Parts: sequence; structure tokens; C-alpha cells
Amino acid sequence: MNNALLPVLVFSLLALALAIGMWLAGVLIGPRLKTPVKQMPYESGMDPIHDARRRFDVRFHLVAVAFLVFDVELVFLYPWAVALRDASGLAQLPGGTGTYGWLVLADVLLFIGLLAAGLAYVWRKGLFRWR
Amino acid sequence: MWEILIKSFVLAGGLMTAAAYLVLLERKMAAWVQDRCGPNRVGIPLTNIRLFGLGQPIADGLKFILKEEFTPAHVDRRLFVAAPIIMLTSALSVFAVIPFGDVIPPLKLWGWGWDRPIPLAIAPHMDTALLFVFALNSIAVYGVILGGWASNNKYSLLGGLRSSAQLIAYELALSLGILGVVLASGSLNIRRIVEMQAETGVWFVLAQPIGFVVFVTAAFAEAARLPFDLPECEQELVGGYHTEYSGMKLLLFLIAEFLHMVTAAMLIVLLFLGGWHFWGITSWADSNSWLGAILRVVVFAVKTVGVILFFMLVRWSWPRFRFDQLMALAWKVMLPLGLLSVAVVAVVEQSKLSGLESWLGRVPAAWLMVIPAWVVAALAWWVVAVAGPSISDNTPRREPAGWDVQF
Repeated sequence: MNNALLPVLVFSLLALALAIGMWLAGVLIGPRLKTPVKQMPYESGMDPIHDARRRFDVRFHLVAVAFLVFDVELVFLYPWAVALRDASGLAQLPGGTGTYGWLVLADVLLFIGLLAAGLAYVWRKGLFRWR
Repeated sequence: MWEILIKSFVLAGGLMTAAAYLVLLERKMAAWVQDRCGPNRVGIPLTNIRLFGLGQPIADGLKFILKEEFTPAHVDRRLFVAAPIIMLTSALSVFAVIPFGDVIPPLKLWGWGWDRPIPLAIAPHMDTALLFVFALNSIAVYGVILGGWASNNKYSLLGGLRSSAQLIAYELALSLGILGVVLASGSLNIRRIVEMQAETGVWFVLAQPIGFVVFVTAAFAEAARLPFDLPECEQELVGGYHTEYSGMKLLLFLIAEFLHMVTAAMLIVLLFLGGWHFWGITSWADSNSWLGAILRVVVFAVKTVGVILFFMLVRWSWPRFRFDQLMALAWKVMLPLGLLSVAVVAVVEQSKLSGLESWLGRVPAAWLMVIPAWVVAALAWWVVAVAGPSISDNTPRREPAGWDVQF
């Protein structure tokens, strides 16, 4: 098979079919007995006071934003990581990776330094302090 | 096409069985740690043969099918059903790119067989395998947060929020740990990474100790195993995001969690512990001979089971982190350590490429560069563990005076 991605598709579809099939097996075989108490949200035997969809701590949102920033920046490092040893990548520079490689490395270290500076910034802003 | 289908079905079946028996293994392990017997009753049905409880997973599976398939009235029905299905699909699909050994050699028996080696992976030629692993890892977060949200239950919502915050925080550490490996091997293909380790004999755990620690910690957190099982800490949140789930849907979540642990163990072995390579053993026979192929599979399986047993032992011997300690560990310790690891590996690799390898030869250069990596690791360990504040300190963490600055 030439296409390297086809097996992934086949296996993912199989996994999906397996998951849905197991759920359907439970639906078809299991009994159905509904009672009003069973339909209530579980709160350790108490009657629930109000809906669960209320406000939650803004820190979860801040962490998500910080994650997005760092994750997107990290993704930029992956092409460089793959290209470093690749004959069709950085090794194609005149003189091989030996000559210009240190220049590229300095650039990347600068980039990592910027990431670290961003981390220090949000740290001192108190983003990671959970009470 | 037949090759793909056969491999897919064998792998899916094998993984489901493995997940079921890992539950039994974990219960036996718990029993051993707590000095009791564990499940030892269920054997062959209708007889008195007990077989050390080996029938327990089958009985559990049947019981799950026969349980009521129940959806409470207050939930968002579509998302409630979709969440466990997303979770299991993503947990299972990862194995499409994870190899289980090197190759099966050619075989001809009475005119039937195959004439070229068959790779022991579903998609062996996928060059973006690690990116695929990351992508599916992120989809698992959707399963958790959808499950928590759709349940419309306060325990579930809190569990889902905590869980998603934990998973995304440790995903950064996971990426940084893997980045060092990608840098040293120049490929995202897992087979290629294992080959790189086998060629020099320097496993990446030796060459990148900081990256290994960061990756293993992040893998524990991504698999939501103790000491990072905040998403479903029974004593605080009942069941976390799957409080409202029961029957088959709960089973899907539980299998997905065990598969996450298997994925994590396999990735640790493949990326850092040399995969199916072992000094002196795998060099006996070429991978195209039957002896070599079987040896490689056995070496890989033994390593994987070892890592899984380590996961279980940690679960039964460590207490759980508090949430602020967990986030502090992710952002204040693991992320800086990961950045340090990447910087060290980058400098090491560049110095190898620009002369060290051609001067010393590839293998001695690889062994030599282990020394600076461990020196930096020792320094980092000193800064984090000795000079810095203790991460498991139970007093509220205080930053030094004047730390908070309004920029």
C-alpha cells in the first residue's frame, strides 16, 4: 500500500465502530427501569439546589490562554527539530550544518529565551497561583 | 488491504483483552500492596476451577453489558453519549502509529505466506506519527470536558474543569520532552527514533535525563494516574467527570483510561528506553530472522510490562497531589525544566554535527555527550529539589516579597 495514511484511517474507523458497537450492545441488552429519583443529578443523596452550569473560576480560562500561547510557540520548534539532521533540511546549507548550524542554533536559543521570558512574565503576574 | 485489516482487528482485539487483564493485574497489585488476596474466585463457569481469578475480567465485561444503559434526565443527551465514544476512539486510534516490535520476517508454508518482512505496526511509514499522537491526546481532553459538561452535575463539572486544566498544562511538558527526542533523531517516525537509539546504543534516557523525567511526569499526568488522578479523585469528587455515567458508557471511559496508560508506557519505552533494542541481546540475530524478530518483540514486551508495573506500583504507594501543587509542578517546574532540556539537547546535537561526530566517530561521540547532559541534570536537580521550595510542602506557597509586579 503506497498511502501511509490509509491504515490510520482504517484503524480509526475500526476504533470508532468498536466504541459505538459497545455502546449499542449495552443499549440493546441492558434493562430499562426509570424512576424519578434515579433521574436526579447525583449529589451524595442531597436534593440538588440549582443547575450545575454556573460561573467557575476565571483561572481555568487564564490557564487555557497560557497553554494556547506556549503550545503554538512550541509547535514552531518541531520543523527545526526535524530539519536539523535531515539531508534535505538544514544540512543543505552551504558548508553543511557545521557552518551555519550555530547561527540557526543561536536563533532557536533566542526563541527559547523569549518563551522563558514569557513564562517569567505570566509567573510574576500571578497566573500560576491557585488558592 | 488484507494486511491492514488483519493487523487492525488483531490489534484492537488484543488491546481490549489487554485492558481487561490489566484491570485484573492492577487489582492483584493493589491486593499485594495492601496484604490481601485480591480477586481469586472467578474461574471457569459451572465448575469449581478457580484459575487464580483469571475469569474475573470476562465476568466484569459481561456484567457491564447486562447493566442498565441509563441516561439521567438532566443531561445533554447527545454530548453525554458522544463523550465516552470520543474518548475510547481517540485512546484506541493512537495505536495505529505505535509499533509493537520490528518486523515479522518472510514466511512461506505450502505456497501460502508473504515474501517480504511485515512491519509490526499498523502505519509504519507514517512520518508524522508523533504529531498524530499529540493530536489524539488533545482530543481526549474533549472527551473529558464534554463528559463533565454534559453531565450537568457539580461533581462532574468540577472534575472536567480540573481534568482539562491538568491535561493541557502537562501537554506542554509532554511536547518539550518529546522535542528533545525528535531533535536527537531528526524524525517524527517512531520506528526511526528506535533505530537511532539502536544504532548508537545510547538510549535517550541516558542522553537526555531531564527530558526523560519531564516526559515521564507528563505521561503520568496525561494518563490521569496517581499521583495525578485529580480528574476523578474519589474522595473529593465522587467519580469526577464520570460521576453520572454507568453501564457501558462508564466501561468505555475506564477502558480508555487503561489504554492511555498503555500508550504512555509504550511511548516511554519507545522514545526513551530504546524500544526493542537491548545491548548484547538484540545483536544476536538480525531482525529479518525469526529468532531476531521474536527477541525484539519479547524485549519490547518485557520493557513495556515493566513500565506498566511501575505505573501501578506508584499508584498504590503515593498520595495524590493537591490541585495547586499539581499546577505549580506543571508550570513552575516541568515547563522550565523542559525548556532547559531542549536547549541542552540542541547544543549537544549541534556540537555533534559540527565536527564531533566526524572527529570521534558516531558512537563514541554519542557516549561522550552523555556526560554534559548528566552534569546539567544534576545541576537542575539541585536547583529544583535542594535549593528551591519543596513541591510537596503543604503550607500555602508564597512568592518572595516584591515578586508580584504590575507591569
